[in-house]
Amino acid sequence: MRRLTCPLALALCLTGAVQASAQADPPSTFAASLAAAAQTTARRQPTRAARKAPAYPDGLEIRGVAMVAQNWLAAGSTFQAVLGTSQATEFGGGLSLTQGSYFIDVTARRFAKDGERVFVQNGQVYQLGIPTSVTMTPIDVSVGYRFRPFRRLRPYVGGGYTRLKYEESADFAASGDDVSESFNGFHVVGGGEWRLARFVGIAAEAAWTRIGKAIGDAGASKAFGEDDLGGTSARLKIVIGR
Amino acid sequence: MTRSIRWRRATAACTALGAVALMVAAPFGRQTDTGRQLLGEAALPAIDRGIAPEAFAEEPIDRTRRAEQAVDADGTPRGSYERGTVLVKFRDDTVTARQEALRAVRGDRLARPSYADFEVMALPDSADPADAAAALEALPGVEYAQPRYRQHAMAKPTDPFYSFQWNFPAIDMERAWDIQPGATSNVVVAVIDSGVAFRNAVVRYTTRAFRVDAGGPVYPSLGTIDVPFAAANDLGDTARFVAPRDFIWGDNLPFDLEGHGTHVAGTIGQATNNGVGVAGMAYNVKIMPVKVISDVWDDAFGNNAVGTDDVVAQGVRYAADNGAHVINMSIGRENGGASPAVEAAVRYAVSKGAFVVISAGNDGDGLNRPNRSAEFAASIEGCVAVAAVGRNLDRSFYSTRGSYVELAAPGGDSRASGGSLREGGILQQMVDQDLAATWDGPVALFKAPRFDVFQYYFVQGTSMAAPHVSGFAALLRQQGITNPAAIEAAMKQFATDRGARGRDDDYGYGIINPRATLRGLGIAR
Repeated sequence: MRRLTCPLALALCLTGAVQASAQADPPSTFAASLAAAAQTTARRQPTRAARKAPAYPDGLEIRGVAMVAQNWLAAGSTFQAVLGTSQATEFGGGLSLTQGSYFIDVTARRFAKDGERVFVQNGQVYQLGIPTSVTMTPIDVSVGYRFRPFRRLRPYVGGGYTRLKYEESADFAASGDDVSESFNGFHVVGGGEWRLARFVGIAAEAAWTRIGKAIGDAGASKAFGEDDLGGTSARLKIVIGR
Repeated sequence: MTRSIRWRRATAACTALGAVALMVAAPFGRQTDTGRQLLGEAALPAIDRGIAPEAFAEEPIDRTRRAEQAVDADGTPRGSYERGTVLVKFRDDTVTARQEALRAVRGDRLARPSYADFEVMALPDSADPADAAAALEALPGVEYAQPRYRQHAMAKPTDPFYSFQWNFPAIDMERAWDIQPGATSNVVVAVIDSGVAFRNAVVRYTTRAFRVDAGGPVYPSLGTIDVPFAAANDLGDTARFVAPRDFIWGDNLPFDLEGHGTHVAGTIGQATNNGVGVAGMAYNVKIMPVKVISDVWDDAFGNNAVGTDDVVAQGVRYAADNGAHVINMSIGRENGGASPAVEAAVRYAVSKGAFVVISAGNDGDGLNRPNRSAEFAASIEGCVAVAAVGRNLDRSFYSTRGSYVELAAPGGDSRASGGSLREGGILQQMVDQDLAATWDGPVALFKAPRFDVFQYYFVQGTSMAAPHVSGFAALLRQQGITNPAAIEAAMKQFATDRGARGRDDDYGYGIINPRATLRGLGIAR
């Protein structure tokens, strides 16, 4: 750092000298110029140090979040069989409360896709042509900690409670055939937020969610031995607020 | 009485028509290899005499109503309504009325569809929509409220005698037909049996004297006779039949000289919603009649061939080689040892992609000897042995028990129905036994048979249970489960357990459940 400071001081000195020569009344001596440059350098150094990684403000902040997530579902084989994909693209949003380095996020996402009912035998999937619709609405309440190693990049980690509303309906359903249930689970999350402007940032994060024993008692999930409606997701967020 | 006169007139008319047709057709007759002569293909119309008269001894019970009162396991009326919402129409279109309604049933919100003059109220999941609707209707500002009842396709067959077919509602076929209405002609079901009334014809036979039972009376030769045949009118047009083959006579004329095969074929694929007679399981499939069983008339007509293991095996292989997707074998034997020839043929058929259904046997009230042509079924994925249940869904008294029994289906049980076959039997069409089995009476009344007159008969047996499963297999195949082993696995997985928990020797894995099986699996259910 010192090595950088010396040429920088010299450059600033020269700049200051130039400025001084431009602004001052006729320069008296070279020594006077150096002294002026040194004063300028001394004034600027504390300013740069403060910009490097200022602490998060202590006050309570509320921020809005919009997000899109790609979720690699834990019950991948089951979803692949019925919906033709083992991934869920989710859209959602929520609020983030921050105080200092800590945050509490409350977010909701939604995934909906149509597929068809199947029969599974020894891993072989037979599609039966009966339309089925699946909707998943997870609500995450996360508590976490924000690091501040850099001015614009804010890494964070967290975890918390997940409440998932799972709905599945299909043609030819009788009473009790369709599913509309909510399940509890937990998640851990880690990512980084990049501040684009004073009130706007974007964040990318990875999350792992487990909502165990939500499925697996019947249906294709039983055939595949999968009981988790969670998964591993990559999320992209737009953050409005400081 | 009127019925009897009408019948005599029809018989006389058809006899006259037949005589004319014979005179015209005789010069063009075709001699088959085995001694019978196909005289004419000119169509003599089948005569449908309705349900056999003895079946009308009592007034029929309205089974339809009983089926409509069926409830799900939790007591909820079947096909009822959606939870979580209710429809409401307000008499007073005011905010106050709405708020009052929401408060009355703890409703979440109201939303009016763009096309409607009513509103959809969201309810808590725990609320019963019927109770909520009743509470709402009690409010002065509400014109009407109702649960969101599910509508469904009205797949209940229109066939006039359908109300006698308790066997279909018993396995929830009406809702199964909603999902898969009768398959299509892309599916071929082979009926390995006594033949099928599959076409119109007049055939010349030379008869010989014969006995029905050893030691019984000798029925004299009738000389050379011309016998009329007709396709069973309720099976639909003759285009439904593919690749017919007769391994008793060695030709392609597998006429049913007894009636068993036609009855079985009817349960599999009787034309349905045609305003005639009764319904069948997979009413759009093609039927492949393969005759491997001989009967009294085959013998009387001078044919010594009988349906031995090798003949049955030949029939099974023929069906597999000629495109059968499902093979029904409502046949078997209790005597002797195992039947490796039949087993090998069944394995061959399964390897060719056919699903094979075999009746478990009717010795349950006797020595309970296994059907030797079915006892290998449990070892073949893609072949099932089927036990019979009666109207009460308990094992039929005659249905053979055994470790090889894999599934159960309605086969009828007269004992469980107060001794009444009319109450407990399976109704399908077959040749009029009065006119076909003319040997079943005094020798003095013995006369030439005719196989162009049909009636509907209540019959029971595992022979009647198996075709339910064959028709079911055809529906599953149409629905998308094409592998025989997968068809078997699906049937077992969704079977309604009965008797001892899990698999047992009476019902196997349970009674077939076509509706649940055809609907298959979602993610969670």
